[in-house]
Amino acid sequence: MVEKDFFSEVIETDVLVVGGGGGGLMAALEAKRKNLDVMLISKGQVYKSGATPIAGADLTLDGKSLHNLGFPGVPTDSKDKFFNDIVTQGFYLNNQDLVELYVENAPIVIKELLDLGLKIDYTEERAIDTDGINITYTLFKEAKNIGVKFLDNVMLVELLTNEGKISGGIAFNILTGEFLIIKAKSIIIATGGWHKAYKFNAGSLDLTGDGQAIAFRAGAYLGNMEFVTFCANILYWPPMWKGNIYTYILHIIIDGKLLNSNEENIFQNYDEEIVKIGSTTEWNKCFISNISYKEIKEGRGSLHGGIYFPIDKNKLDQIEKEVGKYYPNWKYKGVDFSELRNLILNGKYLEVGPGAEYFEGGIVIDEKCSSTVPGLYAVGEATMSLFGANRVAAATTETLVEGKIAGYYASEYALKNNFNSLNEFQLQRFKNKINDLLKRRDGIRTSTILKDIQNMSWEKMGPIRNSSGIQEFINFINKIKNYDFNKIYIESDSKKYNKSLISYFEIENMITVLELSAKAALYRKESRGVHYREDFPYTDNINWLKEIIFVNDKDIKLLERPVILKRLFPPRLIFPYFDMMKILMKSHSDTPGSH
Amino acid sequence: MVNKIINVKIQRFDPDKDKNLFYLDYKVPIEEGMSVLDVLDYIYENLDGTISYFSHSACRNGVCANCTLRINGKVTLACQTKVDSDIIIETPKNLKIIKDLIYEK
Repeated sequence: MVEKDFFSEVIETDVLVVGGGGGGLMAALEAKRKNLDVMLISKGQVYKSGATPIAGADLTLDGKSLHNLGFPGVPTDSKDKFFNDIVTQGFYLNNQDLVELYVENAPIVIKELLDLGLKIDYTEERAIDTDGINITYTLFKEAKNIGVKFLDNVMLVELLTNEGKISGGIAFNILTGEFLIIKAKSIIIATGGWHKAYKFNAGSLDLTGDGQAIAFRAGAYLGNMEFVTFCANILYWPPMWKGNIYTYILHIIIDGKLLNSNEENIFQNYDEEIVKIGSTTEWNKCFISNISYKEIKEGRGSLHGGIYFPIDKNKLDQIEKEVGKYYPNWKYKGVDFSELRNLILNGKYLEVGPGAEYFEGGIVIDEKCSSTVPGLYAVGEATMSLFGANRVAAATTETLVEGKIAGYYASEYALKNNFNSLNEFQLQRFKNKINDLLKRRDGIRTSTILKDIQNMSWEKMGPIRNSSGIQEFINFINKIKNYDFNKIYIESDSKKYNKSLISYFEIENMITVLELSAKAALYRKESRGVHYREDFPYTDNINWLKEIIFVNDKDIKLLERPVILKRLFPPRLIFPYFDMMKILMKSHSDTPGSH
Repeated sequence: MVNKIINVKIQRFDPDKDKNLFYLDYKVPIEEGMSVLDVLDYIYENLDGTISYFSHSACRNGVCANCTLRINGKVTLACQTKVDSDIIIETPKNLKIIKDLIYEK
């Protein structure tokens, strides 16, 4: 056993859940139903961390099931129509087996939340709207009641495997600086996306691709890494609200103009129908982000790097009436946006633009939410998403559905398997890595590397990509991976809340996911969904209806896997990107609403 | 776009090393619309890489309250408090300090 002085303790739990947001909490709750020991570790404060708490949180399901739950919904809607819309809007890159699970189970998990007393705000055609933190708090209370154990501010830094099977993980207590070993029979990853790798993003600060990168190092397959959804029209200024989605919602409701620095309407050169659907439904993320980024990259951006959103002050009444539903008196939780009202009143343009919001790529899972590593499960944004190349229904519902499935099967696995023994070599290797790091007295600061990563991701891996930009990005990541990362030094000698040590682990994970994301983006020589290549501006259903998968087998290996098409099949043709977008917009069922 | 330079006084304390808490001053160039959290980020990135404040998991959107601090004597959210003049940043009173601006919740 590695000396006691390095690892502060060894804990055992049957099932370990990693991530304190909606998916992790749902998984823990479900796993605990089998009366096993279930522990959830959360990088931040449980239920106040991860992506779910700040989600505008519309829980999506087909309108008929919503109607059956006692809300208006849309009685003429069906699960088949919802399935159709997810797949067509996902540019057919969806794993249709997983879409089926989503459509079938969404009403079940939503009912479960309602039965647990979830507070809701209002409903739409295909959605129940609430605040993300209501979801996490509701689940947290119940999970605590039935005996799930929680560790706050504890980050998974390495998975431990023996002979290819899960045996546990190494965790880092952020507040105390201690490392601990958690032995577990099965582990569920619910750690969200890698928002922080982008200069402009709409995520909370803890989302750094931890689960994907750690799982990859442990042998799990990752796929669809090239697809990143950028929310459109997030605030770019003032700095205090950078990344806030208030203006995204505002734009949908008032369906406003967007201007470049020459005061030209950025929609003017596009097909009228695409503009209409692409501004008033969830297609706006894919469409508006693309066309705004083009303006910005071609030098027609706003003062703070975005585009302008001019709002007629005569619309203030309408805004207060309609947006007031979401933001009464311009307030939401601890935020007071009344200053934006003053800007509008004074005729100032708001500055908005695209920001990383959702990551379609991640850990490859099957219908049991099992990864390719025995004993390792994954849910939500950490997985290779069922939404294919473009997400249009709610990610909060995705993570709840998968949380329930993963909780069930990970606990089944834990019932059938004993604790796997620890691999001393892995523990020793980790210990050596950290000891070497802590010995360095100077070198490169983590904050410098992080800033460079955030700028470069934005410049080269944003909504519009091309071969030379992606190649430049890969060279940049290689330089960090092979050189800068090994020169990182830890600035504070205190173990307690050591910001550069926390950042060290995050950077290690971010460079893994970014490298794969860029390699896949370079490899996919077409434009599909949120992945747009200006050097290949067409969707190619003849050659590219396949997933790009990576496996860490000494070197990084790239595999191709045909997409699982079962019920719906796309036309086997090649279409200019915006023509394909229009065809898919028209393939939407007759159910109205934004989803 | 820097408007002016302000003085930021920050409570520091490492229970492993320090007997008492103390304060350090930093000169920070600010621009319009910066929050206390933005100011702390500026200090960490440019002036002092040893400072600790709760920022590894926070929403920056006024929801999670993880960034709650005492700012000029008032307990409030660092992410939603605008900075336009000199400030003092401390932990809320009567809570055990883990390090600098990190405290037991």
